[in-house]
Amino acid sequence: MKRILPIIIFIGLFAFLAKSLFQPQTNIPSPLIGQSMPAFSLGELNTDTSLTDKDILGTISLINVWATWCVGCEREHDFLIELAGNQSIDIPIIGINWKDRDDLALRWLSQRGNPYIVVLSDPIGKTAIDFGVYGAPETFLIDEQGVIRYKHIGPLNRENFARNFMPIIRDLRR
Amino acid sequence: MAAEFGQLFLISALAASLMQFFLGLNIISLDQTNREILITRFTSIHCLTVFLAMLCLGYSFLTDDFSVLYVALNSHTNLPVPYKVAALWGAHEGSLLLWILLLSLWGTSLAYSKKFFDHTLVLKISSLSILGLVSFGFILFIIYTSNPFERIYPFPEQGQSLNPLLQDPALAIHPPILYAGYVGLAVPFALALASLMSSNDYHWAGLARIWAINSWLFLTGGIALGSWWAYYELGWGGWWFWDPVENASLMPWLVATALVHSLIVTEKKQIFNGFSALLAIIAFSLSLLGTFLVRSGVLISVHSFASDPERGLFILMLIGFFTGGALIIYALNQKRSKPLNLNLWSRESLLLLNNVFLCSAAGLIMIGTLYPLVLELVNSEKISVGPPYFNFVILFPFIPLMLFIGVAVFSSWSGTGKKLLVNINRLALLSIVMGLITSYLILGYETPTATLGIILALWTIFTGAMPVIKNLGSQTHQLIKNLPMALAHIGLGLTVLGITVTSSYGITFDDTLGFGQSKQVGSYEFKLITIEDRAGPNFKAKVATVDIFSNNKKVGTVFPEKRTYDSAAPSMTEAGIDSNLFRDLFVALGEDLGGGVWSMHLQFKPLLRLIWLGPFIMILGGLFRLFLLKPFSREI
Repeated sequence: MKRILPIIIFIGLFAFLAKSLFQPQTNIPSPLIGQSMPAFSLGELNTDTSLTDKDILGTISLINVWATWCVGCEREHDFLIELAGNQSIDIPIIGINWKDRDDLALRWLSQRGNPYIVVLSDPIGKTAIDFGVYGAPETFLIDEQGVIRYKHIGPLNRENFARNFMPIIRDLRR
Repeated sequence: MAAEFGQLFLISALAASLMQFFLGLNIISLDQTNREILITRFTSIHCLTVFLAMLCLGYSFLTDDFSVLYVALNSHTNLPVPYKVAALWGAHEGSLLLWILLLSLWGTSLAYSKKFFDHTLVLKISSLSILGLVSFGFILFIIYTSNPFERIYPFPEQGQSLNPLLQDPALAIHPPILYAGYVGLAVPFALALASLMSSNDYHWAGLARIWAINSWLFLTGGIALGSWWAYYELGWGGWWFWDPVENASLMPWLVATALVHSLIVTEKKQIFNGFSALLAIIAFSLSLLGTFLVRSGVLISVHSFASDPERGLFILMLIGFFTGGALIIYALNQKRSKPLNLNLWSRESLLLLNNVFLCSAAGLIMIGTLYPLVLELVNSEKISVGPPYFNFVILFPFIPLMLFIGVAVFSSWSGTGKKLLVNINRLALLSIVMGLITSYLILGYETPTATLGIILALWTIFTGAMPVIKNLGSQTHQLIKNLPMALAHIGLGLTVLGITVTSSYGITFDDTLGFGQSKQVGSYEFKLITIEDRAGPNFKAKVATVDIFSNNKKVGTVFPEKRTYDSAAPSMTEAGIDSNLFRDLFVALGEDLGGGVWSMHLQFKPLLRLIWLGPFIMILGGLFRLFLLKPFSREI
């Protein structure tokens, strides 16, 4: 027993790490929730104009951090398109293209459709650090005053959007 | 072209490491002498090729070759040259290359070591072979998932520059030092496995101890440097955050400390052979966990792991292979040990006891680090354990550990309790009295833990120093025989003293200050004089001038800065610190609130410097052991 105990413990640990690797993403309480979003100034994808946090005030919006190398982003993309087209929810989605290359991002959007009203480019991930981004995809719900109301880590889908985002959006609009 | 040459050298290194591995196997028929010569050669070729690959990457950095993706992501034409060099290991790909370079350097130091004799030659050959295999695995990992020589086309005009956080001298040299420590543990690991698979006796212990102490030195230095950097650079005056990156370096340190002590017992008494081997395996495994899981973000969050699943999976497989394989070899070759007849108060059992405490401490830290992941698996909630957990649980192994360290110093091999008690009671009394005086009369009573911490720290310092003091009049080698141990223990005591006093008696204020306004922190008064603009080589800064008074007498002026780097990064805080051995006065600039009013972070931290003075003295102890004691090593 004494000899095989270490290997048993290790197998347990290994299995656990392996499972963590494939664990679907869940919500991490962000210290930023309830706080104003961090100030940023980012260039729009493929143009010379840039946008700051002040420019997106005045309406409830989503900020979606994504990248072409991110598997989860692929999975949520169809839902984002659906969400963007949904007149009754009517919420603008701002994309932050994270640690990515512009050419790849443009190709992705032209191939899969563009759900975003604007896509900002954050190639080094500096704004993402301010937002406390762990890994793509992450989605932030921002209210009219620019306060972060909710943060979701991992792909969005109809179910988690209805459960986590909709109640807050309804409250904000009331 | 440099990048292509680098790629070629990397592939050559892959081949050389594979040859190094195969030469140790019996499938190649060679006599031992030739085998040794060849494996030594291939070890050096392997090292040389990795070094040349590193040089090629360095050349790409110095010539601003932004067609190399890694250079484009981590450099900039106006990045100062020393930081271009530091950028070599500033991100994932380059740091892996550094990791392998250091591994091959340690391997070479083993290959050319004069410590091997005829009967341990087989140990040398097998351990070099194992090191070759470890290197092979990681070079493969680099080539497949993290190639620093990858080109991009079209290439950018300008690089994205090194993360400003990393543009700091202490942090620039921090990774190589810490990595040298991590990777150095591969040598005891390889020696332990080599021994398990061959003679399976105590001969490896003396050899392994040399590299274990070496790695321990680097780990100690790396951890202390990292903590010091966090203190003045991260801006909020903390010196240890229990974040996964720090934990990942502390765990191997604790186990390496246990390993160094366990190897003493194995070398001298020829017992605990299996335990030492197990510690060697665990220490290196924790290094693997530390270097890679943190680098690729697994421990911080499973999510960034998932964002690059290929890399994560490869790492996990490597860990599974090396740790799993080593533990299987351990299980298969573990000899049924003779029932040991240990006296409870002998040095053997006290060292064993303390090694168990050290390992428990590492285990508790591991639980705290992985616990958020465990909980997430169980009920899909992400919570953070945080400093309260660590600060609390670490006391449980550390209080008895500190207590028994002093006892162990005075114990003797196979000794009994009676004599021991007589020897230590005076020092114990002295520590208690001095501790009580310090905590009640000098500093003022705070908490029972603080008082206990001070007593135990003094106890460790006194008991550490005593064997040297007692031998002051005797022959030189008698005197210096105990010096490494004494310095290491005094260093630990000082560190614990610093930690206890700083965390129990420190004062912190967050407040706003306008020009000419002042704020009382403890017995010190901080007064904001001016805030001016300054331009650095690649940043702009606001520099404040803050005068500090004590009893209306000016004791110092500090210049905290807030820097904005050109590359559109978030601003960085450079704290203003006035320090002496007894206290630190710390000012960090917060936000400009307009109208000349700034938010500020003010701290008074007594005895803070001991936290870094302690490791420095520990390192001196280790260096003494390695270099000064050499001529006498036969007698010790």
